[in-house]
Amino acid sequence: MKRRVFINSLGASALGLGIMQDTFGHEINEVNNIHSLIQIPGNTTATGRVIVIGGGMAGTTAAKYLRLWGGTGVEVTLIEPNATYYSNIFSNMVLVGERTLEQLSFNYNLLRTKYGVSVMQNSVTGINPIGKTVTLNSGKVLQYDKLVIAPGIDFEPIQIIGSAINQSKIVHAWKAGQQTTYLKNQIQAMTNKDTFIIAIPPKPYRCPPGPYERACIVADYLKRVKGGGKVIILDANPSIQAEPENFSNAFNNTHKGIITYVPNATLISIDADKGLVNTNIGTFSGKVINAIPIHKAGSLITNSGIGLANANNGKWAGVNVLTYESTAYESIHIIGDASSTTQPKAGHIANAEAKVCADAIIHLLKGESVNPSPITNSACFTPITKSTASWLSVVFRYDPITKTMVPTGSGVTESLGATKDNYDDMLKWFSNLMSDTFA
Amino acid sequence: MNSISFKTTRITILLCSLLAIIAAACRNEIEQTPPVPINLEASANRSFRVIINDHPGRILASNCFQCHGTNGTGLEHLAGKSANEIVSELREMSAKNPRAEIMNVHAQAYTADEIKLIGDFFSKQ
Ligand SMILES: Cc1cc2nc3c(=O)[nH]c(=O)nc-3n(C[C@H](O)[C@H](O)[C@H](O)COP(=O)(O)OP(=O)(O)OC[C@H]3O[C@@H](n4cnc5c(N)ncnc54)[C@H](O)[C@@H]3O)c2cc1C
Repeated sequence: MKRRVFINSLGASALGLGIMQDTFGHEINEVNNIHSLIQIPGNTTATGRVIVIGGGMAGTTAAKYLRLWGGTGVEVTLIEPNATYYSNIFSNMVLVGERTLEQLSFNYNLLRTKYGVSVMQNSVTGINPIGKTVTLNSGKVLQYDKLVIAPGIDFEPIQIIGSAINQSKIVHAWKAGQQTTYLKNQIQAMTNKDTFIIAIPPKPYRCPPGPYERACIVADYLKRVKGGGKVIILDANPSIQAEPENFSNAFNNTHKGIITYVPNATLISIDADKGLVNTNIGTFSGKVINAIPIHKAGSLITNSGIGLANANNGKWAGVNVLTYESTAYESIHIIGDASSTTQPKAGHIANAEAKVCADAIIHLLKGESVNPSPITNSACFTPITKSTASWLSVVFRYDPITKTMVPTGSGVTESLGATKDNYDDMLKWFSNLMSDTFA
Repeated sequence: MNSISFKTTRITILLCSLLAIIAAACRNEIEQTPPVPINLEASANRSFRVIINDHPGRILASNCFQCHGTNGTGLEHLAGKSANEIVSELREMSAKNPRAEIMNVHAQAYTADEIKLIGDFFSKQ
C-alpha cells in the first residue's frame, strides 16, 4: 500500500490511524461509520433463499455480499454456533501478549442490522441435497434454494502418550480461542533455558506462512522478554512453504541462535510426560510442544455422508471455481479452507472466494450466466519481530483450459525483507479486511 | 455481468461493448486494442445514476476491498477518487519492482482495460 497516494485528505483515514494505536475494537467502529453509507439495494430481480453455514472469514463475507449485491429479494440465513468469532489472523500475537483475544473478537450484529441477514446461533448436523434442506442441532429443518458451506477445517488425531493431564497440555492453537490462551500461558511460563517446539503438518494446511510466523513471534518474545530460549521448527514438508527468502533470513539472521529449522520431520508421536516429540528423523525435547495436526475440511463436509469431500483422498471438497459449486451436487457451494482449489487456505482469499461465490449465486438466481473470468487475491502480512513485518501476495485469474485459478502478473510474490512500514500497513490491512468481512 | 439495466440505450450499448472488451481481455490475458474506444467518462453522464451495486467493475474492484474497505470506503480509501488518478497510479506501480510494494503486485495483475474499469468503479462511490 502506497501511503503517499492512497491515504487521502479525508479525516476518516487520519482518525482511523489515531485510533489504531489504542484498540482494534474502536478502530473498527470508526470504519463502520463510513460503511453505513452503503445501502442494500431493493429487488435486483434475484430472488431465493440462501443458507450460509459457518460464520468465519468465508461464510460471513458471503452472507454480507449476497445481500449487498443481491438486494432484498435474496433471503440470507447465516448459521453459526458461536456468538463471537475469534480471528485466527493476528492470533499469534496473542501468544506473546501483543494483542488480546478480546481485540480479535467479532460478532454478527452488523450483518443483522445493516445487511438484514438472519443469523441463527446453531450448528448444522445434516444436509439433504435432494430435498434441499439442512438440519440444525436443535432439530429444526430449513429449506434452501442455494446452500453455501464454509465450516473451515478440522484435524486428524495426533498420537500422544502420557497422563491425561499432560496430554491435555499439548495444544495446536490453530483455531483461535481457548487454546490460544492456553498456549500463551505456557509460553509466558518459559525461561531462557527452555525450548518451544512447533510441529508443522504436511501441506495443505491453513495459512502457509502461519507456523513460521509463530516461530518468529515466539523467538522474538523469548529474546526480548526472557533474555533467551530456543525454538525448534519441525516441518513435515521438505522446505519452507511460504516466503522462503524472508523466513530463511529470519531464521538465519534476525533470530539466529534461537530458531532451528528442521525440514522433512514427520511427526510420529508425542510423549507428553517426558516432553518428547518423536519424528521419522529423531526425537526432540521441549518444554512447550505446539503440534499442529494434519488438516482436513470441517467435519460437516468430511462426515456429511453425501460425498461432499470428494477431493484429495476424501479430505477436501471439490468445487468449480467459477461458482464454488460442489462438483458432487448442484446448488451446494463450498468456500474457504474447506474447498480444494489451487488457492491457499487463508482468510484474505477466503473473503475473495466468498465474493466470487456470492456474485455467481446472484447471477444464477436471476437465471443468468456467471462471470466467466473471476479474479481473486491473497495477501498475508507476517510479523517477524514486534515492530517489523514481511508480506506475501498473489493474484489469481481463472484459466479456462485447466479450469483452475492460476497466479497472474508477478505470481506468488514475497516482500523485499521485513520492515516497519510493512508492519504499519499490516495494521491497516487487518482493520479493513475484518471490516469488509464483519461490518 | 448481464444484469445491468440502464435508462438510456446509448449507455447500455456503450457498457455492453465495454463488457465485451473486458471479457475478451480476460480470456486472452493480453492487452488488446479495443475495437471501439472506451469512454468511461461517458458512463458518468449526469442524466442517469449508476447504481453502485450494479457497476460492471464491481466484482473486479471487490478484490481491492480487503485492503481498502468495502466499496473502497475504509482506511486507505479509494471511494470518490478520480478514475484518472487511480488508473495513472496503478500504471505507475505496475512498472515497479513487485517485491518493493504490495500494491505493485496487484497493479501488475490486471489488464489496462480492467484497471480502467476498477478506476471507474471507485470514482462513482
Ligand atoms: C495462527 C493463524 C494465523 C493466520 N493468519 C492469517 C493471515 O495472516 N492471513 C490470512 O489470510 N489468513 C490467515 N490465517 C488463516 C485464516 O484464519 C483461515 O484461512 C480462515 O479463517 C478460513 O476461513 P473459513 O471461513 O474457511 O474458516 P473459519 O474462519 O475457521 O470459519 C469457519 C466457521 O464455521 C463454523 N462451523 C463449523 N462447522 C459448522 C457447522 N456444522 N455448522 C455451523 N457452523 C459451523 C465455525 O464455528 C467457524 O466460525 C491464519 C490462521 C491461523 C491459525
